[in-house]
Amino acid sequence: MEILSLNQISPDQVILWQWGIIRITATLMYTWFIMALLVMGSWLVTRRLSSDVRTTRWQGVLEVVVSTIRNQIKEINPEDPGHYLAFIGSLFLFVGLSNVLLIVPGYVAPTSSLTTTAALAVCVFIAVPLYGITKQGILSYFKEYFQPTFIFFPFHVMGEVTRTLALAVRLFGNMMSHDKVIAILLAVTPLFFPIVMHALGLLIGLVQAYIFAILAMVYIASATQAHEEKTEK
Amino acid sequence: MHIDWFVFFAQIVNFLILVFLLKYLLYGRIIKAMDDRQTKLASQFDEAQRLRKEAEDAAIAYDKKNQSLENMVEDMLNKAREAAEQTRRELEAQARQEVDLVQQRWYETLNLEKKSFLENLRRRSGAYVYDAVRRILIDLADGGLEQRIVTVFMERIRQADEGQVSLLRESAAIETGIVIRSSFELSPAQRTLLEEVLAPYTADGIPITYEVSPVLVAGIEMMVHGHKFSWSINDYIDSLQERFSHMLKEEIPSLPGT
Repeated sequence: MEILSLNQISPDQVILWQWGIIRITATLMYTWFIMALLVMGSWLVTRRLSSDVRTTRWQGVLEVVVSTIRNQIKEINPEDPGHYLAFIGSLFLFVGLSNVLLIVPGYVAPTSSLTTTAALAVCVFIAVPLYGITKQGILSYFKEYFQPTFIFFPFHVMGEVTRTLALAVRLFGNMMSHDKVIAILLAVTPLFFPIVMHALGLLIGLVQAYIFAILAMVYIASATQAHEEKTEK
Repeated sequence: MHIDWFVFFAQIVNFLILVFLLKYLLYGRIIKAMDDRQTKLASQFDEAQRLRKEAEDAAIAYDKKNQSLENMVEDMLNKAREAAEQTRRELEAQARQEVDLVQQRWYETLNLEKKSFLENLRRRSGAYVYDAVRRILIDLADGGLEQRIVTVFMERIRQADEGQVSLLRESAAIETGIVIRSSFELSPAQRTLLEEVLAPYTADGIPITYEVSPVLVAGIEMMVHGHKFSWSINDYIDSLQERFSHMLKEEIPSLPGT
C-alpha cells in the first residue's frame, strides 16, 4: 500500500482525517509513531535501570547513545552538556529514527515534510535566543546583534533567519529527494539497486540527523559562548 | 512546497512534548544511573584503595613481625647453642674427671697388683732361692742350710766392727732380753753355739728368746733393745725385687703413682 504517491512531494498532502482546520496528515501520524516508539522504548528500558556494573543490553545501548550525544555536545560546548542534552538529544533521536525507519516498506519519514523540518528549525530558532538570554541576560544577548556596529543588526537577523531556513530545507531536501529517488528506482529497476540505495539512505539519514543536531548545538553555543569569550577577555 | 500551518504548530508541540517526555523518561534516568554507577565505582575504587593500603600496611607489619620473630629465633638458637656448648664442656670435663678417676683407680689397682705380684714374686723367689741354695748347700756341704745360716750369722757377730760391738754391749746390758728370730727352728746345738758367741757381749742372766718367723724366708736376726743384727736371704731377695721392680718400671714407664 502506497501512502504517498510518486507525484506527492510531502506527506502533508496525505490527509487521513480532517475536522475544520484540524487535519491529521501522514506527517502527524508518523510523527506520533516515532514519538511513541521513542517514549515507549525509553520507558520500557529505563523502568528497571541498574546502577551496578552489570546492566541489561538495552540499557547499555541507551547509555551508549546518551553518552555519545553528551560527548558530542561537550566537544562543542564543554560547559554543562546536560543543560542542552534534552533538546539536542531529542532532535537527533527524532530526526535519526525518522530517517532510519525509511527502510521499513510503507513508511514515510516525517522529516521528508517541509512542515516538520520547518517546525524543528523554528524550535532551534527559538531555542537559540532562549539559551542565549538565559546565559547572558536579555540586554547582553540582544546587544550582540548590534556588534560591531548597529549597521550589522539586519545582517545578524538575516543570518538567523537564513540559517534556520537552510536548516529546514537541507533536511527536507535530502530526505524528500532520497524518498523520491527510492520510489523512482523501484519503478525503474526493482531488483538489487534499490537495496543499495536504501543502505545509502541509512547513512544519509544518520548523517543528516547528526548535521541537524550539531548545527543546532553550534548555533546555541555561538549564542552562549560569545558572552563568555567577552567576559574572559 | 507548501507548509501546513496546523501541522507546523502541531509538530512544534509534538517536539516539545517529546523533549519533555524524553528528558523525564530517558536522559534523566540514564544520566542518573550512570552517575550512580560512577559514584558507586568511585566509592568501590576508594574502598579498594583503602583495603589495598590496609593490606600493604598489614604486609609491612607482618614482615616486621616476621623479621623480629626470625631475630628472636636466631637469638634463641644462639643461646641454645651456647648453652649446649657450655653443657658439652661441663659434661666433657666431668667425663674427663671420671675417666681420670677411673684411670687413677686403675693405676692404683695396677700398683696394688704389681706390689702384690712383686711381693708374691719375692716370696716365691725367696722360697725358690732358699730351697735351691739349701739344696746346693746340702749338696756341697755336709751341714744343712740352716746350719750354714747360723754359721754365717755367728761369723758376722764375730766380725762386727767397733761401733756394732759397742752398740751390742750397750743394748745387751739392758735387761730387756734378746730375741732371736729365724726362718727355721733352731736346734739346741745351734742355740748353744749362738749363746756362746753372744756370751762375751752380754751379761749373765739375760734371757734369750727364740722365735720362728717365716717372713724371713731364709735367715736369722737378733733384736736387742730395738737394734737388729741380721743375715737373711731377704737381703738378696730385696735386691732381686728391686731389679724386678726396675724391670717392671721399664715395661710400664708411664704409670702414675708408681
